Amino acid sequence: MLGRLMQGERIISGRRRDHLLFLMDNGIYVVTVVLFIIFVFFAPFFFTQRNLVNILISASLAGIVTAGYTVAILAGQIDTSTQGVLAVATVTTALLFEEAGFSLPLTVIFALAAGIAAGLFNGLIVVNGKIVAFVATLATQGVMIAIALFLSGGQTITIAREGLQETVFIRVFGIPSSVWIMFLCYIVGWVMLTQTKLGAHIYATGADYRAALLSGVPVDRVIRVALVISALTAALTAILVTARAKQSALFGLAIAGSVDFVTALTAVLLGGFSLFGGVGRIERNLVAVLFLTILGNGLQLMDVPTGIILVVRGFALVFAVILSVLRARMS
Amino acid sequence: MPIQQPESQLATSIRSIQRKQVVQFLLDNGLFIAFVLEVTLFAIAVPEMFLRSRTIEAILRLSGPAGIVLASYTITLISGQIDLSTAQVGGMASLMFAAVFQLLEWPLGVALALTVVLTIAVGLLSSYLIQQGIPSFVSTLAVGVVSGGIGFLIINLAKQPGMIRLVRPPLRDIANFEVAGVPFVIPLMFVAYAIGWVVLNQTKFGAHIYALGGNPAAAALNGINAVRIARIVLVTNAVITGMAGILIAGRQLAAQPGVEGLGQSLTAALFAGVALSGGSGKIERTLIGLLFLSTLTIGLGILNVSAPMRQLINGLAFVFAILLDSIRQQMATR
Amino acid sequence: MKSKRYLLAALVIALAVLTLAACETQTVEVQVTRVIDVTATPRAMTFHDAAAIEAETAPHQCQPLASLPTEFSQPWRLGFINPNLAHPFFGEWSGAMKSAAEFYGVEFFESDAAGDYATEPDLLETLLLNDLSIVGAHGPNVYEGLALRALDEGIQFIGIDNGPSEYTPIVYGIPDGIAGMRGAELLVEGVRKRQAEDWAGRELFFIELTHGGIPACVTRTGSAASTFKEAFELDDDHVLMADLTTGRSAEDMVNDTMTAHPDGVFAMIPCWDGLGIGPYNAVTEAGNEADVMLVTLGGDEPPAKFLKTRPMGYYGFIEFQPYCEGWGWVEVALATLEGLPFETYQVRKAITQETVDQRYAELYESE
Repeated sequence: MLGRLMQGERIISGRRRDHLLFLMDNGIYVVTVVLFIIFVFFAPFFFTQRNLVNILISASLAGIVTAGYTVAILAGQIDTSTQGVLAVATVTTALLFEEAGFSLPLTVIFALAAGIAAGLFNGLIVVNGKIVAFVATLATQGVMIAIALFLSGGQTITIAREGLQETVFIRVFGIPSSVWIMFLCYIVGWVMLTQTKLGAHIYATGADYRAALLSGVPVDRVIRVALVISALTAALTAILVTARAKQSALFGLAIAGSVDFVTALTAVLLGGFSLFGGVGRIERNLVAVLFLTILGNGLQLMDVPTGIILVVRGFALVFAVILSVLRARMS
Repeated sequence: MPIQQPESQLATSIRSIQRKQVVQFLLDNGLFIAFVLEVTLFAIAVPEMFLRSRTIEAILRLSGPAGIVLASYTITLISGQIDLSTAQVGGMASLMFAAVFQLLEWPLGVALALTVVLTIAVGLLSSYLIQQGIPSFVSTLAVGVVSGGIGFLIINLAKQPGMIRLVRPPLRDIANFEVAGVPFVIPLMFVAYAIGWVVLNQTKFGAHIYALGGNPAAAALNGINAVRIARIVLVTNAVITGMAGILIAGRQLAAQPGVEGLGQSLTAALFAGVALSGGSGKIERTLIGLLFLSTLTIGLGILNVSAPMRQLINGLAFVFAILLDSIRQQMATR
Repeated sequence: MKSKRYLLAALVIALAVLTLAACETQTVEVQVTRVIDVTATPRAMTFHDAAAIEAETAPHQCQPLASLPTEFSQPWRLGFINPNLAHPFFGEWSGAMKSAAEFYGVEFFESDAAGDYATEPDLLETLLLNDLSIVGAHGPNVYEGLALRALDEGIQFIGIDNGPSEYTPIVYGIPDGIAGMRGAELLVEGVRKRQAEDWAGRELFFIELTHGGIPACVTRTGSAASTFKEAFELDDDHVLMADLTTGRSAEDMVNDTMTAHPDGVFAMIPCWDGLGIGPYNAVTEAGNEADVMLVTLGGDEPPAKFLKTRPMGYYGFIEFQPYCEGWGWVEVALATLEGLPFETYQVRKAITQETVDQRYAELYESE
């Protein structure tokens, strides 16, 4: 069945193809709703106000990173350095606020600046070094984590000083700031991508680098901007994660409490993006993040063993990959 | 003097060609120079510690399992595929092996055979995904996540605390089996390289791998079966990775979900001038690349360099390696 | 199609070779019972004074584990692979080992795994280049391999906080299982107090906060879970798990788990301090602080600092007293080399909100 589908154009007639394409484009909405309904019936207390807020918080932290990540993907840049940026930014936040006694606004500014610096560093390697972003950011991530280790001495920094969680992770109408920030990020992202020249340039660069270059798009600058946006949202997430847990999120070489590369990639693919850039809509990505969050949340409510969760996660990624290829074949 | 004009132009162009040749020479042989330089530096810095047969053995020991994987990994890269599932496949294989051999107490051969079957399946899954037009790094990443999941599933099912102890008698003897006074892993590594060299340089299959990696379209026109080659290369790589995973588990007397010791493959290969985009690179060079990295690890260890600094040096080495690859690419297209 | 046959053939041959090799080597036996020759010299020895050591190790005031001579029979060379020098807990080990080695006048060599246990076998290769007399490491998943490798070199291996193994006769420190048990005991005490107050009649759950990829964690929290389960006679449905390997954050998982049992109260033990403190703060943020009680394991400066702020449900932590543990390792290693007897290290301090101020002042404000 799958094999035949893969051969796309030859076997499936025009109308059926349209239907399938429509389903693939909007399938993520359907799948998310179906999953939601399944959990309403099978996961205890899934459909309660408290749990819906849980899902929103969890989705917001993953969602903010993914929003920036999406912009990079659209520009044709796969940014794998998310964990590195998170490490630098969480350590910066905790150190400045707790150890150096900086004021909150100053702390936030410096943490975001660290994110921008990381993005510029990525841009430097990708654009000036002429290296595929995927590999370049894999390399810079190692350097960033080393820097974070230097800064923190590898320790978890507990934040005993009042004010960070209370101000940054404040609840409005019972819903924490991170959720509002996520929606804001997606609105800004949507406007930027669909209504501005920069957005058009990002799509053009991702779709065909050479063609964009020839038609006068400042491709290198677009790539730099996309990578900075990606790193900036990672830094923003790091501040929120640090505020929520009241401690830095770097433990040894691992980052706790946020989104990892695999989740982000799965979300992007499920959201209908092409890994080669130029195709995809940011709002679908939000739904994909919700889908993954609901999946994790529901399985946790049911207290499912780790191994099964991991295999489900792996197959979600494989499925997403196959879906993205099917789509590419058919359109 | 008008007559000198063309001459000086010629001289400039000759000079630029010469410069290009120098750069090319450095790119081609820089690794050897760097390696010799590295050894010399360490020899001067800590002569009594570094210049000993023991240190050399330690460097080779360190390179062993990673080197075996690197031999097939290089071939995979040359054929144009990046395999990112190495650590997870190695871990999964070692867990599968440990579950069957240690916990079920089945014979060694059966445990190995089952592990091989599992790794073949993983390789086939990767190559199937790639065949569908998915870039190899995404396919293998996804397969890596699935393999990691299977590893954890084995641990969960066996109700083991995050790892499986691997101490059933014949195994630890094999893991520590010595040939002529050195652990057998070291000669095995050289054998793996020799086989890799023969395959790449003396067979039609090897020529096809180079052709395919260099220009897939042209290779297809010449009747090279890309699907078949990708499948063989990826399956072989998965199987060898699995075997190396078992070797590492045998050394640690414990099987675990991820095998980090295999992570240096990509850096070593890039150092050695294997192009990320495939089609070029020499397998014997990656051996030097690996020895360069192992010597770095041991040397920095002797000098007692702090861990964050080591992490930074390794990170920068990776950045440097990909920059080299990029320069090489630009030289080739210019 | 042809290629498949070649592939199959190659694999069969490879398998056959491997199997043959296996049968061949079954006869090879590795000597694992090699013991170092100890030339105990019967000359008149003077010994170090216990009081002097207690003074030397202030403010920790460690009790010596062995009475060691002021002069050793050989210039011993000790080596240790520290799991993570940057971690305050393991950092204490390192400082104590260096001080102890200096105090006893022996050479000490150290290597840093920086949190990545899997690199320890490689680090051992480097460390062994120092012609060591004895070597140690903490690496619950790799220590047996390390011990075997050390034996291969003809020296003994003394780990810290590892489990038992046939390759090393000495189990030093407190294994993870017992550490988890101590934590659970403290938590049981705290929960019983709460049950006499606002938790009376509430449905009790245990949340095991762990990392499935770190065997030490699985053992540690697993034993905490079973101890707690036994104490309150909980069934399996009341012992829940939040595992970092699923790729989700501990904060999210704890919030989710609590949501699944909205009327319950929750006792938690994490694998390390930070893994519990983060979720605790997230639970507080969600307004459910009254429903959780936390005991953490490790007890260095960050959790002490947090406990000092008197969080309602943070009952306390088990302080592993890393300084004395590190100091004691040197003593046990030297006693083993000299063939002298030594005592078991078993100090683990439970610190609660009542005792934390004094302890914090002792350890971190004494300078």
